Amino acid sequence: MFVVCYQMVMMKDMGKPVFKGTTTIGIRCVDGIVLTTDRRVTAGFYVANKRGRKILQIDDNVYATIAGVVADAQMLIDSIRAQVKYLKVATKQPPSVKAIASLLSNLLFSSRFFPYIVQVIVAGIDREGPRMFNIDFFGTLTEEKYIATGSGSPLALAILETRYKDDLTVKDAIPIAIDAVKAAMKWDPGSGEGFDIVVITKEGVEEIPQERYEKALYKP
Amino acid sequence: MSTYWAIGATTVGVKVDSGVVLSSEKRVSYGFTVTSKSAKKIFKITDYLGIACAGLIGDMQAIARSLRAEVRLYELDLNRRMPIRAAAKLLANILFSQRYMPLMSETLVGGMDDTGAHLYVLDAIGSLIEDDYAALGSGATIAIGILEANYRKDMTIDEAKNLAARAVRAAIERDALSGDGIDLLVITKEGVEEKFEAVK
Repeated sequence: MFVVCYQMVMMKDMGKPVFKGTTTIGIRCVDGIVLTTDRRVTAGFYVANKRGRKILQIDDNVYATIAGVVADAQMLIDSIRAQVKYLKVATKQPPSVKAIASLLSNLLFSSRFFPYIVQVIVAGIDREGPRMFNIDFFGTLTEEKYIATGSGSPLALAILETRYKDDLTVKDAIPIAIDAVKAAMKWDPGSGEGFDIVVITKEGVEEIPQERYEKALYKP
Repeated sequence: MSTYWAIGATTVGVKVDSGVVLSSEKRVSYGFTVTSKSAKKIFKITDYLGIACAGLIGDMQAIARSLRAEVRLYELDLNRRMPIRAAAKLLANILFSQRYMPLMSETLVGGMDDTGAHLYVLDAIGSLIEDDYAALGSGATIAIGILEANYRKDMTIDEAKNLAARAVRAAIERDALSGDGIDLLVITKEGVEEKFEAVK
């Protein structure tokens, strides 16, 4: 009991202030993946950073979006990135997206009683095509077609829910993802400062910051 | 960045092309009792790297000691200077290793290496984010206003120094937990220069 209480106290103290506000969005399309996040990093109601990178690379064609405590997410992704690198050498082939997501899920569950306070979307392309998974801080692993995490997720999901279709292409999905993150930034104080996009297709990966997207009105 | 523990302090960092300025005030308090007027919250680690903290003084001294030891060991082993990114990540790992019993200090890591000037912001458990300017502690909300309004990427190191001091001074005026003078650490490719400015 003491351990649980102690942990809950720490979670209350530590988990709350850092990075609680966020909006991250993932859409799985027929030809690839679209990930979008806002850039605000908060400590309580103080905006600690205005261009936080919340989309991190795990493998050549696999990316993750992070929401939760920054330190936990960074350490988690660092460790998974190392494991994936090792697996690649040991098995002479890149691990599937599902394998990477399971690795993350196992690591989170192994820390069941002292959880890493994160919610992660792992998405990418492997031999089976575009795959996307949502993982919570206990290690719950679910495959998703479209998902949003963070404090802005209810707002973002409202947009996704009305506009998602099964035959979406990456080209169609990018404006939807952006509208969703913009809606969240307008009504969620924990999100803001513009957005980053990562588009993963068979042809490769493209990272598009808001400024470039708006300049070129990106067409894949 | 200070809503969690009563971190009474103001610490700011400003990065420009030619270097980094770290600045902090000198007050230590226990509630409304001032327990020291001469604390140092900025630490020279090597002659190209420094840190600035907000939090428990003992913890920040421990952080500075172990980082200094690690950086010196790195230099001795590899016979070259430690990149600032490496030092910041090393400190993040040290902090994260105490995830469930943290050293209660938020830290700025600033310095010059082959790739130019760098400024990193770390929280108590090792979140690591690079930035151009930052403020920590209870006076951060005041100081960041000054930085936000006046920071330019093309400032000279002297302008950066003045801006950092001005931000801390503004925080001292209105934050009861900050005061008693301003310490400055100026890191350029010529080396590290420490300065003190009295207030009132």
